[in-house]
Amino acid sequence: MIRAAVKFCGGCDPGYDRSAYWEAIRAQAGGLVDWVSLDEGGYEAVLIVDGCDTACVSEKLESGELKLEAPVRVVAVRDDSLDPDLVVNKILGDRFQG
Amino acid sequence: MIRTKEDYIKSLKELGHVVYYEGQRVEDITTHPSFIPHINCAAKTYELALMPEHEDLMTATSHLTGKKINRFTHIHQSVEDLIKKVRMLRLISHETGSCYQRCVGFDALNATYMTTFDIDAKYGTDYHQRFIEFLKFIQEENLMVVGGMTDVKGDRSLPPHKQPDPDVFVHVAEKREDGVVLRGAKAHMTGGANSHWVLLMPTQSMRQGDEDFAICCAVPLNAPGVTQIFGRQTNDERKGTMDIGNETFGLVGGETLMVFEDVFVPNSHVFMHGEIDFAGLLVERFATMHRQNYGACKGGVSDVLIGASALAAEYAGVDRASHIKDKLSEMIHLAETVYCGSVACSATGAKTSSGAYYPDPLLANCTKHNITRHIYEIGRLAHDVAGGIIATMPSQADLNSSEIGRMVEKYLGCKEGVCTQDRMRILRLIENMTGGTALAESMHGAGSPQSQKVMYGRLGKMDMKKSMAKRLAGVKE
Repeated sequence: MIRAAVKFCGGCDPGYDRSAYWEAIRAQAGGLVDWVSLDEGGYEAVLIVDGCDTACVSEKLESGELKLEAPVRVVAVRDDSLDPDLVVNKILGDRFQG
Repeated sequence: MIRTKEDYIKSLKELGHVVYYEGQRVEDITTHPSFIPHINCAAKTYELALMPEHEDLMTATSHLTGKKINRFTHIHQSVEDLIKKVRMLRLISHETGSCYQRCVGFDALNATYMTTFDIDAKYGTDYHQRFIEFLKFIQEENLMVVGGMTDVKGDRSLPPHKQPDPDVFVHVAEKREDGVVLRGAKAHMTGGANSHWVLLMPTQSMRQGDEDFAICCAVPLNAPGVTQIFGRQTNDERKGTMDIGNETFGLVGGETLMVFEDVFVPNSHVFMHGEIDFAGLLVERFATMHRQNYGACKGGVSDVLIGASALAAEYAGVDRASHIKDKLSEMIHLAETVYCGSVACSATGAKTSSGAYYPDPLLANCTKHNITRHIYEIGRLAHDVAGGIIATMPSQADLNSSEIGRMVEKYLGCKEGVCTQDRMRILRLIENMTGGTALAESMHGAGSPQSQKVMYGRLGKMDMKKSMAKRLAGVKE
């Protein structure tokens, strides 16, 4: 199991149901991922769930306004086109490959 | 501290404030069907702040304490804060399809913060520090504050101090060493019945003689002498049924007439008294920040209405007709246009001397002015798409009747596979969102259109525009 943080944008006018997509990702990950918030820390990967192409959270990360604990694997989505199991695979990274 | 919806409802239950509805005292507004939808709406401002999916917009970091707070108690610290405000409003509108009321107090807090700073700078008073202490308390407890601006005004041709009955403007009736005593009434108090405090502000610019009417102060709504009378709405008799159209969240804000009969306010909660030269500035700042909101909250509400109109067309089997597609496109255009205004006035906002940020006032006024037009047009298009059935449809009781229910079920049915009740619910939602109260609120909330035009005259830089024209036409100065 890996510890991964999830961070959502505020959701002012998302182009898809972020909550439903996140639930699908979480269900797909099952017991392979221990989900936490960024504040809780100690994560190996971060899932950013942006609601549209404005991608507020990704933008903050890029500008340095949002700081992560350490260089970790970051997976960002801004729509629900990617199959949840592929999102989980990206979060698991090498663990999945191994 | 109030965190959850349950905390919020409990706080209202225990408040013990005086509220009347249809001539009767309502002892517990949290169990009364006419108040529940409005309480549910305001409760969303608490619920969403606890959700990871929305905390980025719904919460902020207090510049006073460094703590995480509900954004509705925050003082804007940047242009980003101004933009986040309008994004937050659009989000909540999507959740409620109605007014969640808490922005009025939000704007009053920000306007008072800036203006008390300026008053102190000129007169050496200590209003700003008093206000900061009050603000910390509101942030810490996460209380709902209603902004109280609109006086009932009596004879509009007379200034406050010349009114035959001075109570038509809230004023200081008695000054004591430890505080002041208020008399008067404020109208259209959005969310007043389900707020904890009111932050009173003058209703207009004041002149010499009006000193006791230039009062800004905070009053707990359970203070002795405060009485609220809940206004009626177009769907009053439908509360608690699907006929209301939006059972959970109701219709617009649930406004009260708030009466002050010899209400004592201690000095610690007085943030302006007598500084007539700042009354207009406070009004202008509150109005600007409130007008900033309208493209976001009404834009968000319009998103819901557009969705409902598209469903009504789909259920009726006309969704592929080109004129329907065109009308839905036009509705989207108008909704996004009003939202553009809110984003634009926020993005071009600036820092005030207090350190708090303030939207561009000219653009904010344009935003609200567009609401007085475009929401009516969006409503007109919704009526066009939905059809006359929104005005003549039988009720839920008819649908549920053992005698005639089968007739309603059959004759209000539409496209195969569409449940009649679902169709009726969508049509009622459209009626709810485009009826009398909703439209009047778009016209007059945050000020009537003429008040925006007055601002154009002041902020429109007409001399600069004339100079541009002269220069290009070769007219010598």
